[in-house]
Amino acid sequence: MQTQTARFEREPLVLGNPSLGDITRKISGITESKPNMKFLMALGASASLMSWGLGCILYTMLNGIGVWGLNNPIGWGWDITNFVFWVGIGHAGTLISAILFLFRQKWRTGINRSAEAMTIFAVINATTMVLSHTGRQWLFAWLLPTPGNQMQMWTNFRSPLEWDVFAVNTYFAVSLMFWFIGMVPDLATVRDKVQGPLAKRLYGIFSLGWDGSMRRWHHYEMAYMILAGLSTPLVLSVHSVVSLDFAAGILPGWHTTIFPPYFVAGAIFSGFAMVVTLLVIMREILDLKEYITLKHLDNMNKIILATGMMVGYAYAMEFFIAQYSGNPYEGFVFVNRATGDYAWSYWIMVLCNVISPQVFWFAKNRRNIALMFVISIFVNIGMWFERFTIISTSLHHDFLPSSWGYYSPTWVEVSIFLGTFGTFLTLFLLFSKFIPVIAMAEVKSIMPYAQPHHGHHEEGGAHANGGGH
Amino acid sequence: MKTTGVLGNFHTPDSIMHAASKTHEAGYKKFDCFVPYPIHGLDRAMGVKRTILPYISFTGAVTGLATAIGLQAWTGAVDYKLNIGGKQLFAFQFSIPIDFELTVLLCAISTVVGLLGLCKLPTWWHAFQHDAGFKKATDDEFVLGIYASDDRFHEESAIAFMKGLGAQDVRVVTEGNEHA
Amino acid sequence: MSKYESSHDNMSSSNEPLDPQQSSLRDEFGEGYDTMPTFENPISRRSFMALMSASMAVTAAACRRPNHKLVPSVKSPEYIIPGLPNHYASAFMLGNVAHGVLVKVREGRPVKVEGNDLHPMSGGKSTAYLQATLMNLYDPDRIRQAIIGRVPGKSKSGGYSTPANAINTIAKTISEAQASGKQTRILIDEHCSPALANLCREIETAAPHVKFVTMPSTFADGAALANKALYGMDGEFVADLSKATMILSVDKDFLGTDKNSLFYTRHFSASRKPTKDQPMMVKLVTAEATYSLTGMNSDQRVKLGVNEFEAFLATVHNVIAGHKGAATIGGYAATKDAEAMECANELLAAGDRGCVMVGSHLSPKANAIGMIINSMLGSVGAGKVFAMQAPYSNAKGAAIEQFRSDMRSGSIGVVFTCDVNVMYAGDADLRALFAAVDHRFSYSYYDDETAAVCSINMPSTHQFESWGDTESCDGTLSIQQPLIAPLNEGSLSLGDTLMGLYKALMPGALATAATYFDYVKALWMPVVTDDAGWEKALRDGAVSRVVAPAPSACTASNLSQCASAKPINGIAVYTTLGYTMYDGLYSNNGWMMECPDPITKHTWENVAMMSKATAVQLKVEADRVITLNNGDRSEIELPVLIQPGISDNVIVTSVGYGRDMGSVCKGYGSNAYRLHTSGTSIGYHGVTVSDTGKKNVVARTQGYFHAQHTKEWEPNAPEKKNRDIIRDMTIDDVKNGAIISKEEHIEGEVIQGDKFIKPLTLLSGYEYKGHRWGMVIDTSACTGCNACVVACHSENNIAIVGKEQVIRGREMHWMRLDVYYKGDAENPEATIEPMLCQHCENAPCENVCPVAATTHSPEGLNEMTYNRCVGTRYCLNNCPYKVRRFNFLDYRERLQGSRTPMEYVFNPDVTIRVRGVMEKCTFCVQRINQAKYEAKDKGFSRVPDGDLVTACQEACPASAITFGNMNDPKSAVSVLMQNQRSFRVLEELNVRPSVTYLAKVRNKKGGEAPKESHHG
Repeated sequence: MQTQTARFEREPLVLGNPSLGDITRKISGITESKPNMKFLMALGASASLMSWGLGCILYTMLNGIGVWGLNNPIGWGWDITNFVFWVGIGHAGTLISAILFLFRQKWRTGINRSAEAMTIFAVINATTMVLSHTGRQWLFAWLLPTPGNQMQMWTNFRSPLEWDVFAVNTYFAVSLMFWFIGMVPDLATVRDKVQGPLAKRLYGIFSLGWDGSMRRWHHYEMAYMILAGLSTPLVLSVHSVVSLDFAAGILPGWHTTIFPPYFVAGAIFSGFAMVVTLLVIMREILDLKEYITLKHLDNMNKIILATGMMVGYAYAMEFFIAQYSGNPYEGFVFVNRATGDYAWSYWIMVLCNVISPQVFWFAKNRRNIALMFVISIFVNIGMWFERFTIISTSLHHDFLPSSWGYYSPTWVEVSIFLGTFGTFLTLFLLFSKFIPVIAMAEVKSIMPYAQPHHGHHEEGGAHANGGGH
Repeated sequence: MKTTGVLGNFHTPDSIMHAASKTHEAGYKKFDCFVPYPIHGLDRAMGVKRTILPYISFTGAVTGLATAIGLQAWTGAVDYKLNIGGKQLFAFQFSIPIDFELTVLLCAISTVVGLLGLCKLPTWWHAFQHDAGFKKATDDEFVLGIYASDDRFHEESAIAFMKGLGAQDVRVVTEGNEHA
Repeated sequence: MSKYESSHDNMSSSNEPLDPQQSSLRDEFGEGYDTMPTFENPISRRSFMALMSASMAVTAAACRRPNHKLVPSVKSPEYIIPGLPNHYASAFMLGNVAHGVLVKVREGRPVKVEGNDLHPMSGGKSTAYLQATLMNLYDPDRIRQAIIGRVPGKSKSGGYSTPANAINTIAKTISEAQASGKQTRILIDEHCSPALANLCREIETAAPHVKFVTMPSTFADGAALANKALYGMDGEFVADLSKATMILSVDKDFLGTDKNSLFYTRHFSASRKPTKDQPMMVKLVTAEATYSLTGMNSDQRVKLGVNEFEAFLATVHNVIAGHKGAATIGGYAATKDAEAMECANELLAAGDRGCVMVGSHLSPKANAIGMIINSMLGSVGAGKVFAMQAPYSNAKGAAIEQFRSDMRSGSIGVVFTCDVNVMYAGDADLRALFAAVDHRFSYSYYDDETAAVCSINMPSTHQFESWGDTESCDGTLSIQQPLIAPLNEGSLSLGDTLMGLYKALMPGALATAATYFDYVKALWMPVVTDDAGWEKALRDGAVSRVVAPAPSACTASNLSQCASAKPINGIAVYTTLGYTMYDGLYSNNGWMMECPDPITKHTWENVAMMSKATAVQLKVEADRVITLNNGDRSEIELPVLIQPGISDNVIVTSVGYGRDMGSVCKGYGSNAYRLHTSGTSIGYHGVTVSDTGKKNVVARTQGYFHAQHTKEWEPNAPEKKNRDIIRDMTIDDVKNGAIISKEEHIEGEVIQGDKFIKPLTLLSGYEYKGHRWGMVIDTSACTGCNACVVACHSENNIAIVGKEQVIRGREMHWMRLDVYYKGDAENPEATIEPMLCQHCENAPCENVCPVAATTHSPEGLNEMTYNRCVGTRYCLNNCPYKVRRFNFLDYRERLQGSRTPMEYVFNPDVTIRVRGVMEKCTFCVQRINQAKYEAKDKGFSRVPDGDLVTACQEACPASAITFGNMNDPKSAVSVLMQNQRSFRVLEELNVRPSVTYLAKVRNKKGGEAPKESHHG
């Protein structure tokens, strides 16, 4: 039935056509409601996971990177894998808000708030990883080009890692501003709804005294447009720069021109998968089925399928070029990826990233909640292994066989990785409780009756008042 | 008991639209519409001039680009020369990523700062905000407000005018009675 | 402080013995003071505080003698300028081989050992053993004081005493034993000290009931017995390889485990660097059952079974005898005849420049046949290859067997072991007999296995702490002068101890000599004539003497007197001196423990090396622990290591591990001495092997030994599969003037495509004015002896990380010796490629460091700024040579690094790196800077070529490493870089390394047709 409508007519973006009041009550209602047991337990679990991870980072700082499995040929392992993984996750959010906004994709309104939140939290994790991976973590400030830096030195702007510092921080800052500006009107709505004096005060402070003045909306819309316009190239740039960490190296398997587009595609791929994972959970728990509809999920699965194909193409192409280029080192590394010590991780990657999304060719599968949940998890696993494969296989067998080695992580690295999920979930749970998870103002603006159709005042009025009953 | 202005609520986007244009035609300058979401064309109907925000953002972008190039060129090629990997002390090729990032960053910051400036935000206190009906403007109603500071403002005529537009629950908001 | 005085005293040859009070003064000031040079690092600061508090305690103790005033020195001690090193000449004895050394002393403490170029045997070069001996000197585990009344087997029993007291007790016991008709034996290690030998003789003659038994842990009489029969000369020859053009080495590892390896390597490598103009090159053929360093460096290897040595030698002998019309040897089954005949013909062609060297652990007969061949070739005699006799190399087995039977008969009442570790190295029978002797006293360096069963333990001194003298095979004499006062109070040199004992036994003996110093000087006076001569001898460290007379003619007929080897059926184990532990002397030495075996690259323990076939036959794989049982009450467990090239049914392992002492070595490896039943510990022993099923991961610093684009080693891989990171050519290629490098070909393309490539490059084409440092490494000369590796350790304060960390792959060596195999998988051709930071002009590591912690100096050095490094490890990832080393943990805290007096071993000119920073070879930048200062003082604008040598170059006995200014077209480096054999590793990456390699030359026929030379 759903699929029928999906195919033949344009489906409503919000089901049941609620009135403006319904939307307000529904969404800000979540923030007012008392947290239930389920929520508190989830929060407790993820918070303790987070603190365990942070504890392991502290342990690493006290004892040295030696508590990890890294060794001489392999200077990066799970640390940078996790960094790239989380940065990748962080892409869908801003992409959904920015690019879909520019393309006037109205269906984004249901999901952009949580997607952006996801971006922020993912980038927080990425930053944690990159800060904790250095040998002397307490000196991270030296990575910033600040005057009076140690020995009056400046940073080395030729280093891709330095580009990373700028790219990731810019991305974080811009995403945060984008997220917050988009939130202000909704915070104002909540401010005007909540009863508790403390809540009133807090929401009052963060809504900056927004009152819906049309003169403000006028600037506001322009600002939002500009931020969206900025974020779009930014999203593409961040993972390109991250990919340069490898592409700018001389290692066979890293030194490849295909990396920037390939990494961006991968990032969008993993980002959307993570969004699907979260939305499927959220729409169940917070009962937002009318707002996060199957149509949203369907569209995202389409994107997952598309980007999955791009990634698959990249795998095939870099393999082909490696052989075609006639560079024996390059050729060996890729054969070694598929057949060497790390073949298992290579094939997990191919299975999860290239094979599994193929089921989304069929509309029925794209709208099958259980299936898409499983696939999205697969994709996330696959994308993690992609980064792991790129990093380890290139490092463990490079130029001089005399210094070839093997790397496997210790419990500390595993704990830190799990900890990042703890951080992510903790922040996301808090977000879903205290911040309007759906951009109310935007949803209202796309309701069928929201915009004036000149001449039929009453009709529009009827809608606005009565809502869809 | 200083009068802040007159408020009136509407229930449909069309009615507020109609009211806005009428108020503008009536020659009021200091009036505003308070709506839960941006209504297309309402700003035009109110006679709002196009925002200058893009120019602010552009200035920020240019500053960012200049900063990036200046920073990399000066630190690398002037202040502290180091032979690193036999590469040039400064070259545009390797400066591009940071040029781009700083451009975007400063552009975004100036946009946000500009927005807050133009909107005079944060404004944590305003008499209107303590009017119960006014609060609906962030929910599902559309509020028209004429400020007492408008030189054509005259309390009775303003009330009459608003009633004429079909506004409901037309009321005067005065400072000091917010706690009433 | 007072250490200055004491070392200064010794310098000015004062003859008062070190009295306890003075040493307590040293404790009071010395320790704390000496820690200051390493003050900048927190760890030392901590241990410094610890030391200070310790010193407080000693001060308190000193307060017990208020009648002595402490008088601080008000002017700086003579000869010592803080910050500048003094070099003192001395000699270091390894067994009966003397090495002339030049010890660098900073603020009164030895910090580096270098070869003494005035000593003809060492010629300014050194070995890993010489380099590492400092770590022994400062070993915290040394016995600190004499212990008396110790209950054997009970540690912590007995009480501290003075050496004098201990000596008197021993003398008393000896006299009592004599009264009750029991005799005394003093066991001493082999040595080459005329004075010591003289002293022993004196004591023996004066007190007939006291006899000395020379009982080294490892000895092999094969050569000595053969020479006795053939030449009537009881001793071993030392071959002068500078006179040889063809060498047949039969299981003699003269480049590796041989005590004379320094001398051999110098001459061997000198003739392994052929050029187009002088294509002369010594040829080395090795016939062996193991896979030794000599085998690795040979042009041809013949794999022999353990019972085939005599047969192979006989075949060679017979071919030559055929030509010379001499008698042939019968009674041997034919084995490897083709190789043997080829070998024989080459020896004939070489005439008196051909020589056969036979391992002295082989049977007297094998050795005899070898020497008969040499005599037939005419290479024995004055001015020939075999003219020199190793001092004190006489056969020792007989005396030891006599001692054994004396103990069995119960006629021995007292045994005093001087630096002889019976309980560790002796066979089961000997250990049992020794443990049953009434009175056992020990004089040893550590509280070792033997000390544990002795009632008196006397601490011995390091050779750098005591007076003495040495004698070399060419007659050169050297004086051992103390470079530092004994670190442990109450430790006496062996000479002083024996003199004390002598005087205690025979009151009034040696009245003229108060100390061993007087004794030595008195003996030397005839040689040096006067005090001036004495001073000169001290300064030079060597006095040449008339060379010993040439050996008499060979009586081949006496061959029949020489015993053959007992055939071994089944599996034979070859226990040998390892490449790092010597006989156990270096067991507790972290540098040596972590110094990889030059062939297998394993560290920290001994392993059971065997061929793949043997492993398959025994149904074991690598890292599997097996039990070796010698059928005589003792068996040991060893992990398996599969090594190509070893003959089947042979297991190779080395001695010196499995110690029951020492904080470093305890628990690592197994004691291979347990495998010999009687007589010589070195050699082949029949064993039964059983699989324990346990696993013990061997810590290896290199896991892959092939240079191909394949995961596993393909013996006959097509040329295109080779990585080209090693290059070799035949002597014919050299004659044809073949060019090995592809570089000019690459540059040709660059120049050709200049207009296209240049605009795209970010390279500045940085111009190096003034110095530009570069290095050339000759892989043809390098034998892989590890001297450079340990020298680098010592010079640059490199941390040791421990077995577990090596397994993880975190060893810190700045200099490593990569080994690559090619050809036959069962008998591979090896190439050794020393690998260190290449100081690339376009260094990939520098570009990627976000904080600019590694940058390029105006003199072409790739410099690492430790205190700027935040430790992203990106440089390590991006280094194509993987020579960067990261401090994953605080390695100085580990093992001996921070235990006093271990910090004295650090070179005060080099920073000690903290946890979390990257480090790597600096081209010894501290030496570069010092050389520049010196040049400036002399008024030069450039460092004169040759004035500056890096630590590795200085140590290298093969002179394979050359360092200098590449900007000077006449410098040795620049000249060598133009050599036809020069190439750069991974030159196709265009990172432009400052290190140039010279291809390995194999002395064999064939090779490709000469390449087109662009050099013209």
